[in-house]
Amino acid sequence: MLKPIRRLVAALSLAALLGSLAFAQVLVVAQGTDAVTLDPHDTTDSPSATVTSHLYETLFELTPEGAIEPRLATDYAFSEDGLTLTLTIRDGVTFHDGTPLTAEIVKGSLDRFLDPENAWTFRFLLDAVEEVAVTGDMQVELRLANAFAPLLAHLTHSSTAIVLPAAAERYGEEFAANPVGTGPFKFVAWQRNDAIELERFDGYWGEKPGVEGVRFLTVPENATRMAMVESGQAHVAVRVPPQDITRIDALPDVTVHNVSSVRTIFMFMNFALEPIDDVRVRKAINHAIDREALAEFVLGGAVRVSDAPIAPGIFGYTPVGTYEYDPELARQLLAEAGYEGGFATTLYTPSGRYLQDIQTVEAMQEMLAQVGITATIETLEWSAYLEQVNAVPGESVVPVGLLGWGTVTGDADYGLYPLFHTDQQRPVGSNRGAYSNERVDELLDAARTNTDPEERLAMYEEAMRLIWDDAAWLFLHSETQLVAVRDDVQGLVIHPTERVLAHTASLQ
Amino acid sequence: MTDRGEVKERPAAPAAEPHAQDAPGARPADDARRRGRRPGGRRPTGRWRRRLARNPLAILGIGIIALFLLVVAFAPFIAPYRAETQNLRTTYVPPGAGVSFRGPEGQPGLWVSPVTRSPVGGVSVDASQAYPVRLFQRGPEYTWLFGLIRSDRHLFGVDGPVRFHLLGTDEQGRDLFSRIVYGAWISLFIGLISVGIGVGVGAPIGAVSAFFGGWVDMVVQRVIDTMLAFPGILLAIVLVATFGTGLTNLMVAVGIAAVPIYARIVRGSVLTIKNQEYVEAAGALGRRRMSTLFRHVVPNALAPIIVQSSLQMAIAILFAAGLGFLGLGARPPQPEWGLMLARGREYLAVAPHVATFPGMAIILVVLGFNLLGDALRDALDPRK
Repeated sequence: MLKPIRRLVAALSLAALLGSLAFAQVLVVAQGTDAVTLDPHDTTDSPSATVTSHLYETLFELTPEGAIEPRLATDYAFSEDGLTLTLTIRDGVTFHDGTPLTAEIVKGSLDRFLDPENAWTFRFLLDAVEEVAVTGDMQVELRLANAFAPLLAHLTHSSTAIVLPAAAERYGEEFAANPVGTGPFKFVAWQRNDAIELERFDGYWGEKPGVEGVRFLTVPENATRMAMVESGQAHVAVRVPPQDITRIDALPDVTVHNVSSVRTIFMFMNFALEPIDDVRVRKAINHAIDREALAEFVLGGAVRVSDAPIAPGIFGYTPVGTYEYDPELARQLLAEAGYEGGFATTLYTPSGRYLQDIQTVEAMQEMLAQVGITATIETLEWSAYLEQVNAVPGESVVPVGLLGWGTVTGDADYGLYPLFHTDQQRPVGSNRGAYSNERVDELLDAARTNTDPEERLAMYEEAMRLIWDDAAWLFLHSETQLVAVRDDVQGLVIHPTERVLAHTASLQ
Repeated sequence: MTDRGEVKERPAAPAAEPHAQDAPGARPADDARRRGRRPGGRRPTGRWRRRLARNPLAILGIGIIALFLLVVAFAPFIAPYRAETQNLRTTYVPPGAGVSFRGPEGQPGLWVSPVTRSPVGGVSVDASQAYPVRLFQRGPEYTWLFGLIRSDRHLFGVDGPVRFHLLGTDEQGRDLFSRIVYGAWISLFIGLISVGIGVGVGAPIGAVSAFFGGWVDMVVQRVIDTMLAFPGILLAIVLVATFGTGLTNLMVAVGIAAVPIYARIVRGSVLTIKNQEYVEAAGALGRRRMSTLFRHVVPNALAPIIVQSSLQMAIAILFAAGLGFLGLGARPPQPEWGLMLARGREYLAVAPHVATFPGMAIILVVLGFNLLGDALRDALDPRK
């Protein structure tokens, strides 16, 4: 007699438990690639940065509109000579383990980031900082070797986030998988290549998130990712393939958001190889490409054709020109350079790393064939590809290679200096085509140390014009982010730095 | 060890009609014995052909392969366009878009109207114009027979400034039918080269191993065991990943993956043949062992090689498509079927035809070779 009742009770409580799970307000975000690390200092890719941005905070924050706002710092002041930055640290901030934030911790975190022994890839962001000094309970001073204009912008970079040095010490190597930050979400679990789970941090100093947690799923297949957002298994799916935009957007409860991005897509040209070293050849290649057609038909209108080496929305951006699609002019330039009959070359591209990467290169191959350039395509898996393009000049066999660069600090220094300065040729920087122009070097150096925004703008404009006229790259487009979001999600921020942020999100 | 050669050792019958004309001494006894067992079996060569012709599946297989060879031979003529010609304004147009069976004034025939498609706007047909599809229409110029013949006549084409896409277009606006037709050559080539490597390397290894026996056999067979321990496709993937991607490496890799199979089959056949009297006779007459092996033994072990080669063609084409699908084989824009299938998969939700037709082409050709291989095996089976 009792048995059925007990069973009923058990069934009901199970149902109640399942019900509460189903209604738990967890935002599910489907990303294309898993995070590489959750140690913000070691982060170099946007999928990792997306997750660390929920767990950690930076001293300053770059708003989606491009303004720099205080976050863990409440106030700042530069000294007269611009060599000292005094920061006031926010009161009442605690880490996920309960440790309160202090000036000591900020110094410890910055020292960890700057420690040459750690050799973080993005250490260069702050390499103007010579010393970090604690000057009060809640005050630190950054002492610089030289005036460094983009300093505040660089302090918004997710790689400079404030970590708890004690936790970093305690976990050692394991810190990458055991994050302890001050962000609005705290870490729960990470199944590699599957899911990362975060839950709301109730001790957060600021406005608490509207969702109880965030789950980041790794779904590399485009079609699967789209099916998940269609069926409601995910609330958000990044990187909608262009051919699916119309179909997904037409669904009654899903909207495709088209948000600008600071990522520029280009093909670098190797100045150490013939015939690419001839400016007429580089210009011919630039004139041979019908970017408008690529943008519309291959990329589904999800890009903006480049008119400068950096994208709009970045400090320092000025449109500096266009390379009109003109196959006739391209042929003429090739003839002037002594290649009437064209020449053979190889286009290197990763496959699946950027929006429609291989499709874009394939379309370009045919456009180049129209002006007599016979190009073969070499596609490599991402890490093998990086190995090839990262070879030092002279050893690199890559004449033309597709890459993207996200200027995530929102400042032209980050978008130009590592890519075009002579000192940044491989093996140290990202100037993979071995581009070198003395005047450009001078301008980029001067603009780094000048603190007058007007003068910096003028310098960047001149530098970009020179780079443009040298046809240093095959300029292509800046990506926009196509993110499919279910309509029951409110307040989600799709940041131009390619991060989907759930800080203010809620579910209806 | 012998259990693996079991299937392949069956068609060892040709020993009944040895190609060993200079060993007459061995014949009477041997012949008599065999005749007793298989009445009327004097000329099995004629019989297997008859058996093959009576098998409807064999005819189907041969038909498919004949069609495939025809397509390969006349590809530039059959394909209305070049395989690489893109048109970004007509990407992944479905088959049949803009096609009608009646002209503007009601004329019968196949008529084509201009079609454009953008990823955002979808397909739009300009019905105000229509042009007829004609046989032996002029189109893009091509050369044939290694440049000997130059022509611009195609099997069919549109008489007008539009393109007719029998199977629709792919994501670069290329004619899918033309790509599949040109891609047939790649598949055949991969099959032939791979089988060639397999036979050319595997058969001698197996023959020598079996004929000489002893420690030679021991060493060779252990190496073969090691190679057989890897599934063929895995072996091919490892080889391509090690030596780099591309069609040439792919063909060599698939060929190497076939080597141990041939070595095993030929070893099995040779083991049964080498003890026949005519082989002993050849030895007794003072022929050198190597010469005996290749004059008398190998020709009699051909049947299982032929059967295996037909099946191996199918396997090679499938492996190549698989590796192409994984991005380890052909490079874009080569119209390799596996690569086309892989790329088409991205568009499955909006344009299923881009993946479907290359997939069907693979299935059809693999089916053809498999049917022929099975039928050959049945026909050459001495126990039937």
